[in-house]
Amino acid sequence: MNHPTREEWMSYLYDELTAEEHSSLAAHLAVCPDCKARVGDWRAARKNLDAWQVPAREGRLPLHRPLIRWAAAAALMLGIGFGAGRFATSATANAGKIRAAIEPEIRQQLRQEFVQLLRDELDKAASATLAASGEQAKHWIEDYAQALDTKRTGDNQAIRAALNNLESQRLADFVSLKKDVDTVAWWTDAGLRRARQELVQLADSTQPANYSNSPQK
Amino acid sequence: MRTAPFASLRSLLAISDEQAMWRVQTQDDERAFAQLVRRWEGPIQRLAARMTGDAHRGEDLAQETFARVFAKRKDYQPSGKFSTWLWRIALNLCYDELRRRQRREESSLDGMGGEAIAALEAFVAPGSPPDKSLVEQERGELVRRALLQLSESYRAVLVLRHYENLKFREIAGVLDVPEGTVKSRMAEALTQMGRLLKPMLAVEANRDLNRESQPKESLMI
Repeated sequence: MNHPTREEWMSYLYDELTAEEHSSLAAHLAVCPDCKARVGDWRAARKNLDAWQVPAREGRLPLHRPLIRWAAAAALMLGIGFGAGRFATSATANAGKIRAAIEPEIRQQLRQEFVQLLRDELDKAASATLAASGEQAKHWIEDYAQALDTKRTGDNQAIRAALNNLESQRLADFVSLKKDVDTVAWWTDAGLRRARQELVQLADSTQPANYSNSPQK
Repeated sequence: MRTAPFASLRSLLAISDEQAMWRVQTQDDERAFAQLVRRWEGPIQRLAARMTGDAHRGEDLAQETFARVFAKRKDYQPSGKFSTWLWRIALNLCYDELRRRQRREESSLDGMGGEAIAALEAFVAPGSPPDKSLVEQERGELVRRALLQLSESYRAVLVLRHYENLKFREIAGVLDVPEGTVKSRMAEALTQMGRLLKPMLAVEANRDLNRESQPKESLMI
């Protein structure tokens, strides 16, 4: 019997197989006691691993943490100093008792203030992110619209220039054609004149001969 | 805890890790960095806690990880997945910490096996049965100790796959080894954990037997 490799069994245990591969391995598991025992041991180990849970203390940003710690320490020292200083002037006051009396109150107050501060800061950060995202999107749209506009203006200018070019080309062609036609007309006219002149000359030169050849009676 | 307004809208507009890291890299964007920290603080703390066996050290190492991410922001390759890069930095810091600790307490690490056995003995010691939460706590402690006895490479694979739910392919990317190697390391890690935790199972079985037999004894008295 061909046993699946342990690498294949790992994919099986952690659901990283196709349905076909999975059912093939499951079928093998049903008939192979050796593999069943092996996979059973791995499953038991996996189950035991879950006994160790690590609670993650999220939300303690490194950017804010030192600031808050320092602020808390400073406020606590100020509070205790102020309280102790004030009550120490009284002859009957016992500094230890006073501290014991005011410390929980100050702590409570500080805790509330800092929880509020933290919340506000988180909210501010979240809404700033939201606003920044909106702002960014707006900028992108504006940039896109501007780019589109610039491109359209450019296209229009190019088309206009091409049309102007075409127009002047057409005009030049027309002028040149007209000139050619005029030249042809002039030459034709000149030719016709010359032909007529030649005909006249021919007529002039032939007529006296005819007259001279004619019988003079 | 107050419910955040526009939560769904915010999630729609939320930028990806890679986009946020790109902003950190190119514009030193603090808000984008804070967002990355918020998203990944928990997983990195858990990884570091499980790699070092110390939840408090895990918190410090998570902070060191993010400090290093910011310091090395220019080295980030935007073509790669941010989380792969982040896991790698965190793991390297854990390895450094373990090496430092090993140098510091070389002899006491040798005694770890003895310590685990002592804990087990205390666990089996006869007496009134501890309450359920205490049992859970003790079981967790034994798993922590057993995990520390694995070699770093097996522990890293086991923590990333089992606890942090990364795919074998992703782990291969983080560790820069073939996927087959990751799977064989995982099999070996589970085999070793099974062996290390077997006494725990036996102890639990014993306790169950004791519990069943106790009422009978009291009736007889």
